[in-house]
Amino acid sequence: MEVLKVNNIKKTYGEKENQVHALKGISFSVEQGEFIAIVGTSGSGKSTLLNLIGGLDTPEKGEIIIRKHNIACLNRKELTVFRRRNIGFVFQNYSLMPVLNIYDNVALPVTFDRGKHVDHKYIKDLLCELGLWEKRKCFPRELSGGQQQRTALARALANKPAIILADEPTGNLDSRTAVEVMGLLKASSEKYNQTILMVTHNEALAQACDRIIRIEDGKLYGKEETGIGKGGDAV
Amino acid sequence: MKKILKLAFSYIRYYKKQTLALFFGMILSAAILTGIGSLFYSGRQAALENARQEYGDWHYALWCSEPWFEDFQKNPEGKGFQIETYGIKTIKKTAEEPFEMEFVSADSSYLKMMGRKLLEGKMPEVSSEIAMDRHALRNLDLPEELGCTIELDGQTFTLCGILTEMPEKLQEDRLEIFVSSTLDYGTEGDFLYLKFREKGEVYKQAAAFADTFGVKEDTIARNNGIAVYVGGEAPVKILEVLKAGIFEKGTGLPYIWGQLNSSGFLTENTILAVLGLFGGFILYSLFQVSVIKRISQYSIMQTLGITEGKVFQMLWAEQLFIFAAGYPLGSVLGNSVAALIYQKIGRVFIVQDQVLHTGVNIQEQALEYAASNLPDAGKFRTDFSVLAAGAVFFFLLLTLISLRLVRKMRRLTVRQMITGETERIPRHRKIYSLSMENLTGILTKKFMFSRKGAFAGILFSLSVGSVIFLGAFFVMENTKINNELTFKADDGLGSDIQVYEASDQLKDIIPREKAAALEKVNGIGEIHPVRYLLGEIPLTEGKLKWTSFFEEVAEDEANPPDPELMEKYNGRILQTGEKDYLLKVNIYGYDDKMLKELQNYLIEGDIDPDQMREENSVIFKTISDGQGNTDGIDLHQGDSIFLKTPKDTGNSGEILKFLSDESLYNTGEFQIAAVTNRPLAKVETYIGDSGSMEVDIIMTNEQMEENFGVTGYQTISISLKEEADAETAAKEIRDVVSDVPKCMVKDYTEQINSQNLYLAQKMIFFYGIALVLFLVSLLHIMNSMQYLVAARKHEFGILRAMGITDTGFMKMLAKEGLRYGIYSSLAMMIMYFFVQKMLYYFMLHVYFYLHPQGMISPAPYAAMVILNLVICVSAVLVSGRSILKQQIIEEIRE
Repeated sequence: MEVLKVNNIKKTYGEKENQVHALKGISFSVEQGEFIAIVGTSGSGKSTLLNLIGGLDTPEKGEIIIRKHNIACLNRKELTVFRRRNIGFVFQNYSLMPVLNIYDNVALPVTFDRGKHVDHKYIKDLLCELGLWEKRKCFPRELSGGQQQRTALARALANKPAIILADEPTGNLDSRTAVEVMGLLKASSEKYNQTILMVTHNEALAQACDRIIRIEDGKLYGKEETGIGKGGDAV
Repeated sequence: MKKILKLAFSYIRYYKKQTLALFFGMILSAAILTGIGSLFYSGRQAALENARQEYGDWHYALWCSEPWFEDFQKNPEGKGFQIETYGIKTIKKTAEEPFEMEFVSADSSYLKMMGRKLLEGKMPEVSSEIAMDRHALRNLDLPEELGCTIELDGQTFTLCGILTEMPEKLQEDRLEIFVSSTLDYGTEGDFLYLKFREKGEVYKQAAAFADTFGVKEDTIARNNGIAVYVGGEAPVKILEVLKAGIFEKGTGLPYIWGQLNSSGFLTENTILAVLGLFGGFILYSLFQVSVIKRISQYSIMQTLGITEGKVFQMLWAEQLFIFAAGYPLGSVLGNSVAALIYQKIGRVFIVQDQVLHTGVNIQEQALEYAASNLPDAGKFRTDFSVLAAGAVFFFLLLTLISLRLVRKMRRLTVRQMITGETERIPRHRKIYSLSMENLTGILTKKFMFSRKGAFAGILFSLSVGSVIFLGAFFVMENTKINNELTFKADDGLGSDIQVYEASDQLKDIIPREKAAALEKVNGIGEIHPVRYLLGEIPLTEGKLKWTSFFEEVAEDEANPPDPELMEKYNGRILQTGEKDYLLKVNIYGYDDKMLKELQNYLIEGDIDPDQMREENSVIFKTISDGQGNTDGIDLHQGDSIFLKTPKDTGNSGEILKFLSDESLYNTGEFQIAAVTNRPLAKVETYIGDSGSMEVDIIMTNEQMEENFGVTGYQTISISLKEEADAETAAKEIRDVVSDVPKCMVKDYTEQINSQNLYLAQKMIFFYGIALVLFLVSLLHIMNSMQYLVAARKHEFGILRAMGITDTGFMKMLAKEGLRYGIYSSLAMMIMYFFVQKMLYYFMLHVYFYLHPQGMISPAPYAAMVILNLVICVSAVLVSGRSILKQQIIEEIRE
């Protein structure tokens, strides 16, 4: 089942001589449960692509259709609610709430939906699965980078979104922890049939994904590849 | 150093918003401090100029018919003193009849010091000539014509000159009559009047003068009228005052405050110190916010090798740049506004006669003085000493702020500074989502308490303005009540006009029919006649607990009894046994309305005029001390008193000593229905009635007639209808009582109006201060809120990315604002509770306010709480809107 369809999107930053064409008409689609790596050099437009898919930014042209909703047609409030219910984010710098403990950080996005009750059993499962249950009462600053990123992943999964967008999730981690987090992302994708789009410039990690989309200079580069992760193991 | 300055200047330019906040903070702090300082200074100068006119423009006077005087005349200079001018008055002789008179010759300096100008003619040149002022001529019943012949003390003179009168406050002493310097009665003596250069405290110069010429200091008389403004008196020894205030019975805080604040300077300096500290706190808070924002940059500089000392210099230089621009501008602004204020309501800043703990009557005098006799405010003067002191204060303060911030940075590791992790890990580890469905409330609460310093700063600055407003409101409300009650106690029921017998003869009364006639005068609203009689009660078996309260029996050489009271009444009290006394009392007859009004001063019992008439019971007005205590006499409700009164109520003289034959007196037993601490309308022409020092027995007018046969009145208090013309009414009243001997009519309307206007002006001033502090607080709150919100930009970006709607986000912030408002209001209440307690204590024990209310009505509290809530919510929402305007992705990257 197609979860995401990106159709000829373009994005330009700046004006006149400072104009930068970040994306120059990119199209692709993603199936439910796919774990996709978006790779490219710095400034290639991969993060811009992720932000547009996440509704954090708006494209100049083109369509982004998630679960049959063209997010470019949604107004500000609709987009916010859509994002809340359909997209989970994992950022490079973890972006946890420093004043909330781990459990509450994970439960937080669920509480934004009025009338929606927090599924504590699911959150417990998530925390156990990600090895954080013992740390549930700790605050982010008391955890290691890997543990914080696992918390961010749990938070992204808490709302059972259509897609998880992970922007360089291992960028701040050492290689051992990066592999560990990568394994968890992959395991989550498989266990919860979760669609994940991950931006990375680490070729080895990308290879662990189901599919690799390469972007260079705002365009898709070469043919899409199937990562060794499809049925294989992470590096 | 040049590089440091350059860097500091770059920061100023880069962080424009913070710089502007700090700049305005400096301007407002400087403006309020120097502006109010100048207002106080102008008031003091006006009071000094006024005192010069009232008391003469001299500092000290001394007998100078001594050997040292020759040396002085040869060289009137010496080490440690500078004489600006001196005058010599030679007393040729004095005479007692028909008035106390001094025949004097004086030099021009003396005349100038005393403001004595020749209005007509010339000063006496030959022994047959004489000059004096119109006051003296009128008192001596002499014609005001030059050349007329005058006979004084057995000698004939020709009036050669008429002068202006003596300074007002010196007039009571004696008549000063100028004769030729050549006239010699063989009894003459010289007085030297000195005026030192008014630079610093002149008492030190006087001491140096005495030392130089070998004059005994205790022979030098001080001009008390102006001494207080020029440092004419050696300051009190603070430690000794504190010691006496703490350890000596009957002193306490009122004594300490009275001693240290004898010139009112302590109050003014306290206000200025509080304003300075408040300004300092705001500047610290504003600058701290600015520094925390860029703390990571300083840490990077430190990793690059810059020393802490250089960081200090940078912070210091940055603040000094702002200080250099803001302080002069603030001073100009503050003084300009102050000049405008002074033009309008300058007289509220003029130092008044201080109300000390020594007696309630002083307060009444001060009130009267304040209401009707305040001098012109004069011109506004900038207080350059406050300007300089303020500059030094802020300079030191900014240095301390820089030092403190560097010390604060030292406590953090460089990594903490770079990452901005300056907050502590919360202690409570509760999982809130288990019990709550919405975590945004928890999030805001946690964010709020995560920066405790900023949180406390906001609460404090917001509370201070509110507390000042509430405090001003509390004092003003009580001042109004006090004024009203004091006027009542002075002239009866806050009346506009008082008719009274200016006599100490019981036969002089206002007849009953005159009171009836007064009721028919146009414009009369209420009329309250008061009957009076002097009596005596025994206080036996230790009923008088304060045995040294009355000078007559205190045996204190320093405070001898009043000779007039001793002569006319054998004193107010007579000791008859070890613990037995006979006490003279004022007996008043009031009407029912007055008796009900007396409830305001009730200590115990109940006032019911019908019951008093039925049971022939009375009200006992007891004595009270300097601190408002009223347990000096052990008589209470239900006790009996034996009241001795003259049988013939028209008889005065010896009989009022209560020493005549017993057959001339009646003695009756009366039960005490109630005890009060104040009378209403008072009669002061017999044993006096200061309101606190004498005992009064109060009953109904009917009882006065039945018990003693008193039918006429001593005073009648009259209130006019609102639309009535006071002047016309007063004239008509005068016509009605014109044939009553020694009956006076006093019109208080102008004085009451003047008093109310004065109070209104004071209120405007205090509310003005509260408003300015409120503006300063607002600036601080807006800046702090903006910082608090901006500091969480990253977290807010995440929340927005996770799907919090704009409305949800604003609701979350509004909740935070509400929380700030609620906590500020709580802080305000707690601070105000103590402030109110302190003010109440001062009003009751230091300033002797009558029946001050312990609390204010809920309306001002509610208004302040609502204002706090509105400010906090608005400040957070304004800051929150700027967050929503930014791209989520930009915020996440912060």
